[in-house]
Amino acid sequence: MPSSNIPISTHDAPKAIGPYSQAIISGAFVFVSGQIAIDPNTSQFMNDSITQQTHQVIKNIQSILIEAGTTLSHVVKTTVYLKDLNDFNEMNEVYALYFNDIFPARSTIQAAALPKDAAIEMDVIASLK
Amino acid sequence: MLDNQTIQTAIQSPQHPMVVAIQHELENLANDHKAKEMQAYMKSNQPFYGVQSQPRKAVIKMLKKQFAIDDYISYQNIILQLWHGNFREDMYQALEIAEQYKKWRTLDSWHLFEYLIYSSPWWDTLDWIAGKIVSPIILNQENIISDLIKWRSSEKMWVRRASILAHLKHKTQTNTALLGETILILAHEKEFFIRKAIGWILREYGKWNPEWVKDFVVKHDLRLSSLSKKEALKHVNLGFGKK
Repeated sequence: MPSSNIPISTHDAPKAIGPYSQAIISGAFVFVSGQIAIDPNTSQFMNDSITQQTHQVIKNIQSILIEAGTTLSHVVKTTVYLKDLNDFNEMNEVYALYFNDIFPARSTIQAAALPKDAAIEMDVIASLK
Repeated sequence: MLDNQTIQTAIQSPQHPMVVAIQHELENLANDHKAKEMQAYMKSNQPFYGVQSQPRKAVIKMLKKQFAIDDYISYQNIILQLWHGNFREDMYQALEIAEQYKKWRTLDSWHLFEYLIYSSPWWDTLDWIAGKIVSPIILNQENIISDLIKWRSSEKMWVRRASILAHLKHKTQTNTALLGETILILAHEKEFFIRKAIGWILREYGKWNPEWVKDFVVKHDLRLSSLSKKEALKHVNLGFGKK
């Protein structure tokens, strides 16, 4: 990896538990790893409704972005992985609470399986300015 | 937020007897000398009766026994009629009622409270609404997050300040993700009342989680103003420079 790439690590989001970083700053962008609904205070997965899982996932992403010095309002691309695409509307309602100005580009995919049997995983790319 | 027709209907309706009584008591307690002092302190063109906090509270306490507010529309109308009164203390009494009648100090009154935020003229009213009325009722209420996010980009500086102070009473349950993001979005502002609010909220949260505040201030040292950092760290020791 080029030395100009900067790994991001914060206690306010779930720890990276494998050979990956919570996020990487590269150039003018930060690339955030896929987040599931793990509460960083307890490190426990919140096996809750899709609504509550989506809130926690976005909170984790917010915290990682803050550590990188940027915010959700600088997100340019999101990818949302749902265990069941029938959860789309509930996910979307929560998503719209956080992204309500200029919406980032987005892909939404139904995944065959997600870690911890999560209902949702999400990753984002954000600009630093 | 409340629609204009609701507001106008409330203002133009006959004054609620409680509003009449409150204003009558304030007139009786009026003090020209104090009025001038209070007006100067608030740098306002709005007239003051010159009645300070304790006697104002006593007026409400006395009149609460005489006038029962049994329905939400009365609660809303009394607040709106006082809010649009001529004197600043009319607004203060509107906020006393908004705060004291806990039955309606809930998210059901969100549109009313949001209107008060948007129409607040200065820090005295804004800090009261945001800190004492709104903050306690939005704890863990995720459905209003989009409103708080909208407040951050309002053209009105007081609304942007409210997006910070809305976290004031959340102690250990503070949504640090949303608060941290809000601060970063507003940190570039040169406006004194924004910088002061950032310092205030960090100082307040520092009572409950000094490590988070310390880390945040160190991490975003270059983004935060000197004023914000000074306020934030009033009771938090950064742990270097002294043995």
